[in-house]
Amino acid sequence: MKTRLELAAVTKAFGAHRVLNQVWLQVRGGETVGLIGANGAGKTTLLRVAAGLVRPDGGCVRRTDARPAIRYFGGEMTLPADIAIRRWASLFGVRMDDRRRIGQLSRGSRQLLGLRLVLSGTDAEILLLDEPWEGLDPDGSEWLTDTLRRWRGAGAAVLIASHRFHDLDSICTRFVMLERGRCIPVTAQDHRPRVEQLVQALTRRGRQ
Amino acid sequence: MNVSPFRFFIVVGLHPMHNLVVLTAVTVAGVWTIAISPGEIDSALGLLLFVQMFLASTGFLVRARRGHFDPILTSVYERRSVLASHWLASIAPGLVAWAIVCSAVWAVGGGLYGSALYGRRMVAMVLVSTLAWTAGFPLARSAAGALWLAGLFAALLYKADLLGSAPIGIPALSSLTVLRHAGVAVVCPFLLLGTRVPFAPGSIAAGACMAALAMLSIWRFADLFDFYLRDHA
Repeated sequence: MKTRLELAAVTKAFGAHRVLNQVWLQVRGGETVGLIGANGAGKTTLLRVAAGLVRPDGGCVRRTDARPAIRYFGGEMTLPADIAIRRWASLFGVRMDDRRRIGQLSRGSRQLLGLRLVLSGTDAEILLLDEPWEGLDPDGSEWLTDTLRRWRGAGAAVLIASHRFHDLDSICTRFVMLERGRCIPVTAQDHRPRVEQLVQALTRRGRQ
Repeated sequence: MNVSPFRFFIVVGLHPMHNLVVLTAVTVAGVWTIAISPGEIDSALGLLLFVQMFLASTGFLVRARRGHFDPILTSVYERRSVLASHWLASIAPGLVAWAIVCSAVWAVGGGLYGSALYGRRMVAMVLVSTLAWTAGFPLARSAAGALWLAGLFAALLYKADLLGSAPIGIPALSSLTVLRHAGVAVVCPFLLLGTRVPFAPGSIAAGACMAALAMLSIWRFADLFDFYLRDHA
């Protein structure tokens, strides 16, 4: 499958704080890449740069088309609280009869609503998700994992930032870790479970 | 997402309900005023201009950095068309109210509706709609309207002579005077209502150009804005 998303030497700083420093990352169609990193490592910034919402200071973001179909979900806090659920759903071509406002839902329900709408259909080439399993119950988590498998099967390039290693492990084809502004591939060292190695990689680097 | 940016902003709702209620009340009051006294068109339009100062100042950056506009900003539409749609959706309720009041003037047989649709009164509406949106772009909702109002009060208190020095109509005006009067029209578009302050056409045109330039600068730099999340690294 061809590369659908490529970050080449991407740099981004907020004031004196350099969040991304020469990030290189490629995501191909049909591939699901797990992005891990400590809190404040810049995972959200990287996803928003990839989505075209934040402009890199240096380097470039290449996509298959100039304006490809991208689905991005930054978490339940990005949903406008004062809009009726059915009106918000209508924007995604989804029919819902719930007249409550989004802000009246619980945190987990808001997260599930946002994901259901963003993941409706599989027409996008690039899918970017920021902490998608956050706040979901087991049923919601299972649905999300199944849906992501369907997206991957449809040939989308999927990039997911999360701390939920077990959930990531069930869907991701490979992992990269964001550390000191750079993307480092996380590869299997031995025969131990991959999740164990991910945890070790993250905690060992954090201690160094 | 396959909806147009304009529909997105209409569905998301850029105006709080209480602002729309005030606009409806002002429109009804305006139509009522004109029905009673057709010559009072400027009282009705003046109130609409005042409300439009707050309505058009919907604010873009603050909500975009909360992630509310993520679906449309990551869609296939270009940023410029998203911003243009946001501007149109911001000013649309005020323009509809303006059209209703003009229709009332036309219905009662007043001869001034033409000036409200394409004359200096319309320029006043365009100035307010453009500048309130532009100044409010990086601010919270209605903040630009409040700042503008405070600026007007300050100008009236300390620079009353400047606002009063607009009487023009004198044939040969220097470029500097035209620009100064254009500045007066931009700061206080309410002076364009009525005929008490006779602005030269050149000053009105220069004022409209200033407003257009201010808004075009947002378009020009549309691709440079960062929509990072406020609460995230």
